[in-house]
Amino acid sequence: MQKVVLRRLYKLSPMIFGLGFLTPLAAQILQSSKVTLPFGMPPLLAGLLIAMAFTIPAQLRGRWV
Amino acid sequence: MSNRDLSMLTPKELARIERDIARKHIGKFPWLSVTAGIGVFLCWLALWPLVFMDVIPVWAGFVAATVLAIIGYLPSHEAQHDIIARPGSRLRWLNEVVGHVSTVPLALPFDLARATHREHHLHTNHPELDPDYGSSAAGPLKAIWKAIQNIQPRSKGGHNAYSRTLLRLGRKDVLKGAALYRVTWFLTLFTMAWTGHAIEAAALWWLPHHVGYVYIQYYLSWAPHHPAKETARYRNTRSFRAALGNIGSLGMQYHVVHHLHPRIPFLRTPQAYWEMKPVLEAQGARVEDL
Repeated sequence: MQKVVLRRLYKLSPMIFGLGFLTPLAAQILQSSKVTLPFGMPPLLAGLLIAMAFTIPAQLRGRWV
Repeated sequence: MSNRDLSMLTPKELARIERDIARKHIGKFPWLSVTAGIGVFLCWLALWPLVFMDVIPVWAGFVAATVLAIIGYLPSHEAQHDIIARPGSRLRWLNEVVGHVSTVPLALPFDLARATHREHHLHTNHPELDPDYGSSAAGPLKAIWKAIQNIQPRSKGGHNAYSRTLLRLGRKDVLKGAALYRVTWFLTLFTMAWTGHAIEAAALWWLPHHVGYVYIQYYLSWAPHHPAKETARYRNTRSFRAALGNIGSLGMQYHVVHHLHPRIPFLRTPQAYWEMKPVLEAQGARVEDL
């Protein structure tokens, strides 16, 4: 049981990394570069969209590049 | 040595001369490696307040952290071979401290590095048994690309090859320790990121980890073993002339001596190489490039 949970978590590691690290990283880069975001979008949402643009393909292909 | 005719000697006699040369270099306490190992860790720790307090810019912190992450592997490598102190000796604790702390900037668990590196020495260039075999490639650019591929989540090489090696060896303890280390590393990065310090965490730890892994794979795994087709003692590793010189290649130009005599301290390897070269040539070693 424990093994199955760990294996599933491991398989989801790109998604976990995208949410846990890339999303706030992209948001903070946007904030610090003072970019004006479209539609008054909050930096965190923009960060999530940018992170997911990298994360979803990585999750499906098993590699980031 | 250069005045002596070695062509008449048997491989056994040549090996004896080689061992005598090696013995002159083994057993010297590697002060510089110990100082460098602990120094790398302390310098890397110091980067955090320096960057947080804007004493140095983030990009400079990234460059410094990357250099430290790469350099830090070398003292750890000495510790992997028990060069600082052997098991059971009075300074064994120092061997372990240096091994563990010097690879923190690289986020590499020391026990994992030690166990898999020993397998690399035992089975150099063996497609199934050498955990570093995944770094083999046809040329320098392909080697860099291969190193990048090896750090991908579902790659065949890199950490996944190390996991397979540890399972084959029945070292689940090391595997569990390495998994815990990696989870802790990720959780630290996540915590920093969600508390507003993602850029600093990326610059001082996440990116240096990746750049360092690629650099180390290139110079420590690929370059000294290329083309990685032979497994014999005198043929599985080579000396070579690195484009970035001996310092830029992390001293790997003389790696052939390290594979033959792993307990010679890193900084004494070049001297040992030049003393041994005629013997190595007579033994058929791959020393023609340097």
